[in-house]
Amino acid sequence: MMENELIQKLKHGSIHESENIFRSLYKDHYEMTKQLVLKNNGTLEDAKDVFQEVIIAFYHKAKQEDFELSCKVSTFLYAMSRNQWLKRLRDRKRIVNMVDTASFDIAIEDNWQDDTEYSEHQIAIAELLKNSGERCLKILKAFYFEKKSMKKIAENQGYSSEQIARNQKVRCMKKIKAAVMQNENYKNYLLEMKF
Amino acid sequence: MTKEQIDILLDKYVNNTLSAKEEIQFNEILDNIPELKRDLKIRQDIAQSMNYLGNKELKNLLDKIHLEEFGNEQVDLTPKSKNWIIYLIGGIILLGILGVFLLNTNTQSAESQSPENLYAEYFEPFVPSSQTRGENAEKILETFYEAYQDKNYAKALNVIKPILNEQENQVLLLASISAIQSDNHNLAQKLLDQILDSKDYYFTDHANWYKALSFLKQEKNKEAKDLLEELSQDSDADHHLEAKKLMEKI
Repeated sequence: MMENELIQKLKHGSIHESENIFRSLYKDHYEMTKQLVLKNNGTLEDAKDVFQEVIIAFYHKAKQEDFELSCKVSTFLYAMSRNQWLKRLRDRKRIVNMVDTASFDIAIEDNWQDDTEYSEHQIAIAELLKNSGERCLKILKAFYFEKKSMKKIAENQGYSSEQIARNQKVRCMKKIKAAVMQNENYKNYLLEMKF
Repeated sequence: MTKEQIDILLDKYVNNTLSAKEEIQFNEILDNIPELKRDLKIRQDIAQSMNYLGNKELKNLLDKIHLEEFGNEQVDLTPKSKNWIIYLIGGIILLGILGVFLLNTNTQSAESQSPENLYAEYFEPFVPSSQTRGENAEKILETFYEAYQDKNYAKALNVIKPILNEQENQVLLLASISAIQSDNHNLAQKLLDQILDSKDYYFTDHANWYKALSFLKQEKNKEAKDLLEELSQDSDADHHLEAKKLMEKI
């Protein structure tokens, strides 16, 4: 598969529709991250964790409307793995003198992982979402996580029009918001935040 | 601007897809209708919670791929030059064991596949997420995980039993697998039902799969088949393919 095609498939696919892509990324590039981590004081468990975090971040990058890959996927994943492993070593207060196991020539911004940190309120809301019914969970996941358009959601999830899918999403949001606002902790949190 | 247009604009902000022109509109609206800030904050938290669930699901998928493609990598197998003779001897012994294994497998394939054989063929212990094995894990859980990973299921079960009531679904699943392997099927079914009752969809398919294996091990083929049927009909389900294949063999 051409690399641009790979990005397009990630951009428009759900997690499960992209399973083959994740598998081929794993087969083609995991070894590179593994060597990097093992050569720099890491374990196999570290290598697995770093590679998976990189793949998750790569999936989200691909979903960004303006994302264009300006280098090879291998270079990009190597640079991301390197950044992520450096970050982990620093967190562990280890002296960092990175030995590179591949050449790379791009800089990846350091804050790519920030949006994978969640507050206790967000984790509590996730519990409510899980109990919001399959239909709501599916449409909200497609919209907010997979970043699919309402048109695509309508096609994939069997709504007869984009408008009907949108109405369904609005109903689901209303339901979730009502459940969220039943939670005293969350209400207090909003008050503290001056909302 | 209609309510629906505002809704779309807020969603575009949350999904980071506002155009420059829309960004101006968005800022104007927030200035004019300050109460929208609260709605926006809730919306952002819901979107981020969805992200949390999605990432968890993706991590589970990656764990599955890792396991299928690389198995349980545990050690660095790069041989050091002075140890080559040890690796050579080890290799010869392994080849011998493999030969005996293949011979046995061929003999077995001629026999009819009993539920016991099918159970042994399809049972693979669930691999827990590494995130729950952090440094802050309580001692008892650490011992439990260690025993589980060493496949010492009887020990794992004994260790976890006194604190089972306080555990989350992942631990309940591992405990139920330990119970199945220790032939304590009543406890296994109870724990698996508890997981299913919690409607935690990350664990539902796993719970059904191991419940089916538990029935199979007890030679309750009909009950096993009923559960496998559900998994085999849902192409998105975990263990979907295994369930399909196993159905054909029972």
